[in-house]
Order: sequence, then C-alpha cells, then structure tokens
Amino acid sequence: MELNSSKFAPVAKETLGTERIVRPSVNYWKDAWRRLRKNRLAMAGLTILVLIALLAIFAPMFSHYKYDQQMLTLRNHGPSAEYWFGNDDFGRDLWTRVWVGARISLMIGIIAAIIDLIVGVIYGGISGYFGGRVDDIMQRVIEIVYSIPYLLIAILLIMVIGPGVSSIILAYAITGWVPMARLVRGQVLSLKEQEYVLASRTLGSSPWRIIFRHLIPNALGIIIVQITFVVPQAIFVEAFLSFIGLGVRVPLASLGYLLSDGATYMRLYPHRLLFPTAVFSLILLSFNVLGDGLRDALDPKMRK
Amino acid sequence: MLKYTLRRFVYMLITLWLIISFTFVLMKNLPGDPFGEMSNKIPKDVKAVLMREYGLDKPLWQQYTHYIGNVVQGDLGVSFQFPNRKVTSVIKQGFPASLELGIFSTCLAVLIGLPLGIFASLKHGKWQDYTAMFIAVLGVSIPSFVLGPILSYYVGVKLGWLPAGLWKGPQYMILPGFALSFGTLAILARLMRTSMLDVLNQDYIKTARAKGLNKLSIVWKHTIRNAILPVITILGPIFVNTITGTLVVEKIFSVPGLGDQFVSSVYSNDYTMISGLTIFYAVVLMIVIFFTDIIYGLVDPRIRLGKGSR
Repeated sequence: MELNSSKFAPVAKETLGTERIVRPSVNYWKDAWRRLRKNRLAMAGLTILVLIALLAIFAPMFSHYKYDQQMLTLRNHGPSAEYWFGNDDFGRDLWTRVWVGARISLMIGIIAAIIDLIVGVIYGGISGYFGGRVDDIMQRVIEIVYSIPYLLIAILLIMVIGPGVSSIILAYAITGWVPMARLVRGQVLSLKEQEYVLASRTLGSSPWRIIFRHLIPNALGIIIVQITFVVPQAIFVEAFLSFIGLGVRVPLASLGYLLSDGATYMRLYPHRLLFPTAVFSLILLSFNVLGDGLRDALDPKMRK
Repeated sequence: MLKYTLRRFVYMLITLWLIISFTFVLMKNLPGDPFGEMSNKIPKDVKAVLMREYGLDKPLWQQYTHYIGNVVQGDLGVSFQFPNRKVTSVIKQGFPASLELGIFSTCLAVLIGLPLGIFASLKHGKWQDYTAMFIAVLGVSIPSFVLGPILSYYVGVKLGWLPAGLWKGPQYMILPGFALSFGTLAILARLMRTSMLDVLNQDYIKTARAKGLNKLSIVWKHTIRNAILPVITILGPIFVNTITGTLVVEKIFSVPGLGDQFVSSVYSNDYTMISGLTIFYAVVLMIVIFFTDIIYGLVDPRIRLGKGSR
C-alpha cells in the first residue's frame, strides 16, 4: 500500500480537545470519600465521634471542677445549671467525670487499634505473602489463639498483675489482633497474584518491600473498616472488665466504671446511669454506623 | 471428614493445655505468700509440713505435672477463701442455672435475630430494612450490663410485669435472657442480612426466578439454605459471648449461677476458685466450639468432601 498526502485529511480544530480529560481524575480515596459523604448516617456517626473526641479532650480542661474533687454537700444531686450531669455519691461533678471517662475509654480503643495495626497487619501480611509452610504454621497458631475465651484469660491475668489501664490493654492484646491478622492474610493472598506484584518481584524487590509498599497499602481499605470495629470492641471490653471490678483504679473513672457505678445506684439516682450510658452508647453506635458506611464506601463492588 | 474432626480435636486439646499451663504460671506468680498474711507467725517446722502437704516443696515441674494430672482427673482444687468448698461442688451447684440461662438466651437470639435479618434483606433498601438494622446497631451499642439494670428496674420494678431478679421458675428467665441475647441477636441479624443479600444476588436465584418458582420457595429453599451457612460458623463464638455475658447478667439479676459465683470470687480475690472456674469455662466453651465446627463441616459439602475451606 502506498501512502500519499491525498489519503490524509487535516484534523478539524474544534475536535482537537475532545479527548483531553476535563474532569480531574478521581483516585480511590477521593472516590470513597465522595461515597461516604453521601451516606448521611455514616456522616452523622463521624460528626458525633469528632464531637465526643473534642469534648473528651477539652471538657475536663475547661471544667471548673476536677474529676476527683469531692463536694460532700452535693452528694447525688441531679443535673443543675452548675453541674450539667449532676453529682455522684461523693459530690463529684459527673460532667467532668464522664468526659474524663470517655477520654480513657477512647484512649484504650485507640491503643488497641494501634496494637491491631502493628501485630495483626504484620502477622497477616507475612502469613499471606510467604504462604506454604510458613502460612501453615502461622495459621495453626491463629486457630489455637482464636479459640481461647480471652475475656476469661483477661480476668485471670488482671487478677494477678493488678487492675489498671495498662492491664486492660495487655489483656486485649493477647488475642485482639487475631481477626485483623486473618483479614489481612485473606486480602494479601488474593493481592499477591496481581501483576504489579510480579513486576515488583521481577525488578528484584525484597519480600518486605513488596508487603509494605504494595500489598498492605492496597489492603488499607479493609484494614480501616476493621479498625472501626476494633475500637468499640476494646471499649466494650474495658467496660465489661470495669463492671466486674477489674477496671481502672478509683478515683480515676472510665466509662465502664461509671456505668457499673450508675447501674448500682440507678433506682435512686437515675441520672448517674443515664449520662454515662448515653455517651458510651453514642460512641459505640457512631463507630458501628461509621464502620458500616466505610465498608460500603471503600468496597468498589458497591459502586452503583 | 474424619481427618477434619481429628484435627479439630487435637487443636482443642492443645488450646486447653495452653490455657491450663497459663493458669498454672499465673497462679505461681501471684503476689504474696500461699498461706496468707499470717504466714510469718507460723513456726518454721509447721510451715515445712504445710508445704509438703500441698506439694509446694517439690520442684516446679513436678508441681506442674501434678497440677495437670489433677485437672485431667476433674479435680479443680479448693476455694482459697473457704477451704471447705471444692471448686467442683460450686460448679455442680451453680452451673445448671447458668446453662439454662445461656441456652435460653442463645435460642432467643437465634429465633429473633435470624428472622429479623431475613426480613430486612427481603425488604432491602426500604424503611423496614432500615428499622431492622437500626435495632441491630442499637443491640451492638447497648451492652447487656446496661440493658440489664434498665430492664430490671423499669419492667421488673416499676411496671411489675416480670420478676426483676432471682431464679425461681421459667418467668424469671425472660428478663435476664433478653438482656443477654440483645447483643448476639443484633450480630446474628446483621450477619444474616448480609449473607442473604449476597445469595440473593447470585445467578441461581435469578434462574429460579426466571423458571417462575414462587417467591416463598425461592426464599425458603434456595436463599435461606445457602445464606445460613456462614451464620453457623459464628454460633460457636456467639455461645462464648453469651456464656461470658452471663457473668455480669447473673450479678445484675441475682441469678444464683456460676457467673455470679465467678464475679464474687473476683471481688474476694479467691484465686484458686477463679482459676478453677476459668478452666471449667474454657473446657465447656472448647467443647461447644468443637461441635459447632463439626456441624459446620457436616452441612458444608466443601469441608465434608475434604477439600478444605481454604
């Protein structure tokens, strides 16, 4: 075939720009955020969480009373203009105590999440990526750890090392990382067959580089969703342990301690159960709603 | 299937051994003297006799094997606070009530949770779905130890509809049973809904619909039967949840069960009682998990045929 100029026609000027991408390209995270923003329930959860976190940080600072300041003339007073949530049996300001408690509960939740991120993600990543024998052994370990009824073990452990925030965190750390490890492993198993992993391996990347630079960032969506369920779980564990008398030490107050205290005095002074319950349940509720929303937003299969 | 069962059984034994060893290590590391604060006043030779009596003069590994031997034979020791009470007799006394409560509330959770999840999935995206899921999220957010006192006070004391506590007959089970099942009910409903939605999107459901099967038989024969599989896997953990939940619920409703006993032992620092009860609970839970795993293996052909789930 012979090519000559008669076979070509000049391109019309107005068609030149049609193939240019006009709208900015939307990456995974932006896209997820856009979908999350449309989910009103999840956004409400996020807003409430931010609000509660701010109150937990700042409310005790700006309060006129300290969380352990006793005012014996005000024992068990109901809510008033001065003491918004009322007072407890030592006349301590419940408003301050609730937010100090929320601070401790949230802190326990966040530390649990960090432990989960470090132990669970690394364990799951290694187990999934190396596969074969390594995976086999690591999975057997998980199966055994997973079936330990950890609340019982936690109770035993705290009995021996003494109650306190660090004991609760340690108790959580024994088995709390297992679901995350399982999840990350599953994700890594399917991701490692992808071409970009092969490309990276061909270029001579070390397994660590592949795991941390390629596999885990791509599993981040699932990890984040799991985190939103880990935090309330840890907060729940703290409350449970506090309820049976193994929580933080008095006069410090966690939400779990306040709940248990409030439940004891509920018949006489309902306000002492009402406010801690409201804050506690709002935290759990918001995390759950946000987690559900994030799962929908980060899962490309849900795209309509 | 036999191989699978055997493997699960071996894991169960390993887990139990780990728990028992862990308990032993913790008990050895307890602060203070085994004979209490008065031990300084006990004459040396008396103490030596006591040590021999309890086998504390032997090397650690002998104590350990002795301990394991006792546990295997079902001897969980005596109470630290009340030396005339054996752990096993406390179990015999308290366990029936706890078991009744646990089974009742598990049944309640299954009987309410599964239909709720199925209903929500069939009304997917409609207001019924949102309502059901709101109830479910509420269930996850309000722990039994908050719901318990509220139910006990408002339904039990203020309205007087049901007994607010104690354990004297079937009607005494309703409030603690409900308080205990609310959380698990919610988990079951959510899981069932997700699983149903997954199955409803499968091609074979479309085929069934295209064949003109009526709606009821599609839902009953094709959807629920497939959707219920993943739910069975969590029945074990659900039961574990319920049993650990009895610890606080029994205390709230003054149920004279094992959980109540456990919590009072925590309060009175009764170490041997707690370690004994922990081992007992662990054994019960392990057995339950073992059987739910086997049942799951039986109903899921992929495991039954020995291909393995992964």
